[in-house]
This record gives sequence, C-alpha cells and structure tokens, in this order.
Amino acid sequence: MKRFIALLGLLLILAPAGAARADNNSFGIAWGISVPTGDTNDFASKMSFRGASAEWRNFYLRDAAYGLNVGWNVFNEDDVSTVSFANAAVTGKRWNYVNAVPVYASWFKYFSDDRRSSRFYAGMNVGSSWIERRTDIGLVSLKESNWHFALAPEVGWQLPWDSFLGYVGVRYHYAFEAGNMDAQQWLEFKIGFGLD
Amino acid sequence: MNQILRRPIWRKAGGLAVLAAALILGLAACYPAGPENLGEIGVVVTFRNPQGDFSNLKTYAMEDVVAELEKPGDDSSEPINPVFIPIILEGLQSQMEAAGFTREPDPETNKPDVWLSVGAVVSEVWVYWYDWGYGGYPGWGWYYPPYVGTASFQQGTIIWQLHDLREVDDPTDPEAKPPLNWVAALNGALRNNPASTEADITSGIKQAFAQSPYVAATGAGK
Repeated sequence: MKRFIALLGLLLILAPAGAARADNNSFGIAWGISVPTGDTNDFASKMSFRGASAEWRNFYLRDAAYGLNVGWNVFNEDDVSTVSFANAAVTGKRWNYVNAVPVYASWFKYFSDDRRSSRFYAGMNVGSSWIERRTDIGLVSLKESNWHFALAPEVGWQLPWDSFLGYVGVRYHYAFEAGNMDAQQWLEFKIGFGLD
Repeated sequence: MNQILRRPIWRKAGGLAVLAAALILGLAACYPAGPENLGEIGVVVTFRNPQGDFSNLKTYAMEDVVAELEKPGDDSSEPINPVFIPIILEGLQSQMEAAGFTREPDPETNKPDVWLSVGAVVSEVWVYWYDWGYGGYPGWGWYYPPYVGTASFQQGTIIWQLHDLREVDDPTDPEAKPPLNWVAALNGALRNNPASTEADITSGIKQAFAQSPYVAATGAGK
C-alpha cells in the first residue's frame, strides 16, 4: 500500500505542471471525507477522513468538461469480537480495513458558462475501482482484492478562480460485485483545490 | 481578457504540487494502525465435535500437569515458563466448576464422565515488514523504500481437550481412545511482564468456556 501512496503522491506532484499547460485544461486535488454504506459499512463502519483524489478536466465547451480522476479511500474498524462457525468459535481483536482506489473517466455539465463565477456542476464518473478488504486477527491476515466496475455520480460547486478553495463536491461511489466481494459503496465529500 | 484575470500558471501548478505533497504525506502518516501492543494479538479458538455428546455430564478429572508440546520442525519450541502452570491449572479447574462439573478426586476408582488434558508450548515468532526509509537517525543512514524490518517475540500456545470417558471401560488403558468432545486453544504473545501474561491466560480460559456454552454439566444452568 505504501508503494501505491508513493505513486499517487508522485502523480499528484507532477501532474499539475503538465495539466496546466493548455487553457482548456484544469487540474484539481481534493481531500475526501467518506461515509461507508451497504456492505462496506458492514465491514468497516467508521467515517473515514483518509481520502484523496486528483483530477483533470478538459473544458471542450464553456459549460461542459470531460476528464479523468484517480482517488484513494481507506476505511477501518477494530473491535474485540467472537466469530462463530458451525462447530467452532474464535475470539480476538479484529482489524478490518478497506482500501479503495477508484480510477474514473468523467463528464460534467456546468450550470453556467462563466469560468470566473461560482458554478454548480453535475456529472458522472465511470471506471474501475481496485478494492482490497483485509481482516487481521491474531497473527492471521485474511485479504481479498478485486477490480470492480464502478460508477460515481457527482454534484459539486466550483468556486471562482481567486477563492482559496477550488471546489467542493459530493459523489456516491458504487463498485459492483466482483470476485467473492459484494458491491462496495461509500459517499464521499470532496474539498478541492485547483480546478480554476 | 480571461487570460489576464488568471494567476500565473507556474504559481498555480507549484501551489497544487505543494498541497498534493502535504495531502499525501498527511494521509500516509495517519494510515490506520494495527496492533499497538503484544496483548492485542491473542486469540481464543474452540472446536466442538459435532458428534460429541454433551448431555448428562457431571464429573471430570484431570492431572495436575501441563504437558510439554512440541511443534514439529521448529527448533525454537520450548516449554512454557513453570510460573504459568498453576495459573493454567487453576483457571481450568475454576471454569470447569463454574460450568457445573464436580472434580472426581479418585479417578482410578471412580470413573469420571470426562477427562480434561492440557498442554502448552512456546515458540519464537519472527515478523517481517516493509517500511519507508527514514534518514537522520544515527547509524541508520539513508534507505529509500523499501527497507525490511524484523522483530521477534515469544508466542505461547495452550491447548486443552475434553474426552468423553462414559463409553470407555478402562480409562487407564493406553489403547483406549475415548471420543474427543471439545478442543480449546489460547494463542498469544508472552509479554515482558509476567503478571500481564497471567491475566491474559486467566481471561483467555474464561473466554473459551464463555464461547462454548455447550460445555456444561447437567443442571448447571449455564
């Protein structure tokens, strides 16, 4: 995982210079605060403050953009519990982790064509999400990871170019069932910089 | 006109890069941690024989010894510290009585319903991990990822089992194979402070009985 953090960090650090070259291009990074829902919530129910995303948008029209974005969300939960099977039971402190890396192509409609003013936008992210679920108990670690087909509808508010924050948004990640893992879902609040 | 209002592109890109670096380092630093002390990695495991008959049990017997177990092929296996043996035996006896069983003081004359046997072993556990390199610590030098860290600790395992003697004519016969009804095990790190390990053993034994409510003498109301 730390290798992935290094790669994401490198991407986030290097990408702004490249993406900011053309006037139609815009680059943003966001801190993500997420609330797990559905099966993700059953596995690791704590609200997560560990999330980040980087995105590039190309305004091919004054009020519409397509782009790419990549993110990282971590959920965790720990407790002492007893897991019972048909003829066995195990008690111990259990740590559950969910690591999700969504990679999306995106399209957004802006409800104003003035890039110097605050603008609401709504759009859809479509792509794939790599999700790892891990349980540590005692000296045993059980984990499974899969690439899931994923969707994330998103609405947000892009702030004027001279404001401190770049944009705020909310998106609902829905990663469809894959492998032995049920669909994973979470609601992410984005606090973003850039995208001006 | 639009271009004039924009900030210089190098400032925007540079600012974002700094923010990105701060964000990623911050997130990496607060990545959720796992066990923070050795006591947190203990587990209590119990198995019930699905064919085992737990009805109409009243008496039990056990030897006041903890057998030395060996882990095949593991040179680091060693007997458990004798200081823990009375803790193990007292813990088991106390929980058997709490489950309603009566200890048979003379099992050679009066056959008990079940026989409790217990064993223990200590072995070395090595843990390997990959981590970021940190610079600046004297003698560590600089490493850039990954560098491999190692640590070891002693892990103790206590296993006990409950045999049903009711169908066995002569329990002292070494050829007799009484049905095994229940197996329970504690596995955890031995801590530097023996009092902490003693507390872990006592609470672990109690937990094993708590998660096995079928281990109860008739009329115990467990």
